[in-house]
Amino acid sequence: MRPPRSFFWRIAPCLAVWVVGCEATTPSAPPTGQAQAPLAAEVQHDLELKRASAPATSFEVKLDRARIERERAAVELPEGLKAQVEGCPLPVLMPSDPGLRRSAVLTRGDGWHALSMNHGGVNVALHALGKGFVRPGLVAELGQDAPLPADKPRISQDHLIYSAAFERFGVSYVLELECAKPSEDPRCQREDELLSLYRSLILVGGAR
Amino acid sequence: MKEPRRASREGRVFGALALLTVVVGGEAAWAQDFAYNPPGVLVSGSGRGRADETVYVPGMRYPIEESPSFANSQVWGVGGSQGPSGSQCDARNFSYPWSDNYCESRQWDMPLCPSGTGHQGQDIRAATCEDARWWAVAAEDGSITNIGSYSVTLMGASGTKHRYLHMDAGTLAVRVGQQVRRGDRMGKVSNEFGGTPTSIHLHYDLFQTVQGVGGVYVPPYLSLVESYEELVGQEAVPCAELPPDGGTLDNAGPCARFYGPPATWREVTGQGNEGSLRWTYAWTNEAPGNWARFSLYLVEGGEYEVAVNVIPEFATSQQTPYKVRAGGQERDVRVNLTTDAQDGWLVLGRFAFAAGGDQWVDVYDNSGETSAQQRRVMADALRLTRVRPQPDPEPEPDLPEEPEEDAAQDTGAPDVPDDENNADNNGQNNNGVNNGQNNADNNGPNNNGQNNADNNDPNSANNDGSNNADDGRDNNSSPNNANVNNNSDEGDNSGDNNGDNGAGGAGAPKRFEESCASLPGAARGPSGLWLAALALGWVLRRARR
Repeated sequence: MRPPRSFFWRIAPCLAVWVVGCEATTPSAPPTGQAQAPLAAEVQHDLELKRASAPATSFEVKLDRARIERERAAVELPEGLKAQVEGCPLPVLMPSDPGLRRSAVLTRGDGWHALSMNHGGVNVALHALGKGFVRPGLVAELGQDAPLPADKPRISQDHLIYSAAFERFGVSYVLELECAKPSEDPRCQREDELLSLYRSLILVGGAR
Repeated sequence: MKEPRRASREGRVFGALALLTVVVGGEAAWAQDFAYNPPGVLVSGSGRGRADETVYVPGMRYPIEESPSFANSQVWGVGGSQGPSGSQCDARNFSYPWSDNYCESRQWDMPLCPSGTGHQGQDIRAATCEDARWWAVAAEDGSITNIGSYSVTLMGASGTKHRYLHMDAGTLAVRVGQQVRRGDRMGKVSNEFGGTPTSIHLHYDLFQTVQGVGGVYVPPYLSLVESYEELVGQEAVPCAELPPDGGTLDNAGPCARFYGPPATWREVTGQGNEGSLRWTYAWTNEAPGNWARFSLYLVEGGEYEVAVNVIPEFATSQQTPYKVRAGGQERDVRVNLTTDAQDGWLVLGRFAFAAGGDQWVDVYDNSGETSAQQRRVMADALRLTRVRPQPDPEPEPDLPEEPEEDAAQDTGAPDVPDDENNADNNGQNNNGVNNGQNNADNNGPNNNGQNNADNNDPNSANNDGSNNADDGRDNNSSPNNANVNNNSDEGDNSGDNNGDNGAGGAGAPKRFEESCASLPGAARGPSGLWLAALALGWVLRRARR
């Protein structure tokens, strides 16, 4: 195959010069006239954002045991669930609606537990968080508005899922209400149903 | 954390160069480079964002399995109830840069949002607009704690509650109580909303307990950015980099963002830089209703002249407020747009920019002119032109050896315009420098911009603005002005090279130059290299024989 090799040798220096020429010229400054040309997002570069990884520290809630003992209620629970509830290190709140309680599935982790309940076309989730994050910047930023008021939930809603964040016994809870058909179900049109659920919460166990 | 990022960048640059050698003129290859707007910068008119640079869940996995993916607004995106008309599948919804929408306007409590209300989380689109094709995955190790009719909750090992909305119920791969590992598939991105249609997207939010604050939805944006960078193996890019000599940013480009009611930012096509422009009516108000920002990211710090493109029909405000952030300093400038009778560039002043980002030029509509006056504020394009210091007049070492040539250069025709230019330029530079410096000081007698800002008297504004406009024309539009910057060695050299290349642009050397020049940023090489190459080829062939 001599002809191709010969051809290669003939063009190899040209290719080399082409590559060298391009490499050498690529980093150089564009001509002055180019300064007015429109730019594309053509060169990659870091953004100079001061991202802060967090959290540096965490904290564990301090239980209000006196209140826990005062409010502990004798509520009938399915046997399996009852055992799970009693094993929870954090106080377990549940709605008074027996239908919801019967449907409850409890999941536990390190410093938290959660109840998932489905009944009558609504889904209710109640998470209890016994650990959290120390973020002094947020507290300073929010000032007097920072802490949740005692026994008053912070109501929020998005995509017609209502949520109430609140603290009780020193624990951070968040109660969420989601309807199977939210746009047709009045329970997910206003906060009333969520507030009603919130007010019905009773301490059924845990925190022994 | 900086070092790995730098190493990564080098890798990317290497990859980029490798790509350039394959994709000649491959600007399109950059189109999908990840870019995002800063946290807190929401879509125009969609609310007040929270500029929070905290990564609340460091090290988490991006919640959609594959890239690309696009975090942006559903409501204010194309096809959304508040966004531009069109399809939810519009390509603009599936493009960078990302936009934060954690504090997008809603009516419910969000204590971390400036308005006190907000959206709780971030809307994310998958790679394409296809329903139930793309997997959402666990952002961290943890347990599935709840599944509603259109929500799935993951309680992460970090103590963060992650909530995923709108996954297709038929594709859910998890159940309540199941433990999952970071990256495990949970369900496919869809438009599930309890029988109510929504766009195909994932709503993703983070809930944490913060000491002294209680349980709150925390901003997920930068956690998503960081995890996405890990997913794609590429850190974000700025909207564009301005090269050392400056450049132009157009209103249609990725560095221009328009705020306030979209309907009152009128878009005109067929005119303006790059064939489009935007304008809005000026008015009197403490806060602007419409405003635009051109974000700047400079490769090299230094003094730059900043100019805006104006077209008389759309630029009738006589005291348009601008704000320039350069090198960590913000300066207010007021400009009379009407004093430029022709299409052209109007100089805002000279500013000392730093290398890098966090620099911008804003234009606002609250000029103080009344709505009845129907004055127009235009936002079309922004131009930065590097102002290089004059070189020291040192004699060249070859001067004694070539007296005749030097004499010719000193007295020949080309020098006459140079001298004229220098004279003009000195004057222009003085004007420009005065503008810039006075703007910086905000109190100089020659500070056209500041005088306008201080004086509400329209006549005064007019006068000052006229001066500005004159400076702008002289500095930017005239050919002389181009030579201002060419007085520096670099400018001269660049110009000469251009000229040489243009003259030598025929035959085989032209092919060489074109192929090199088609690479972004490549300068054209001298045709002599070709002769050397041919000679080398001839020698090699001779040697082989």
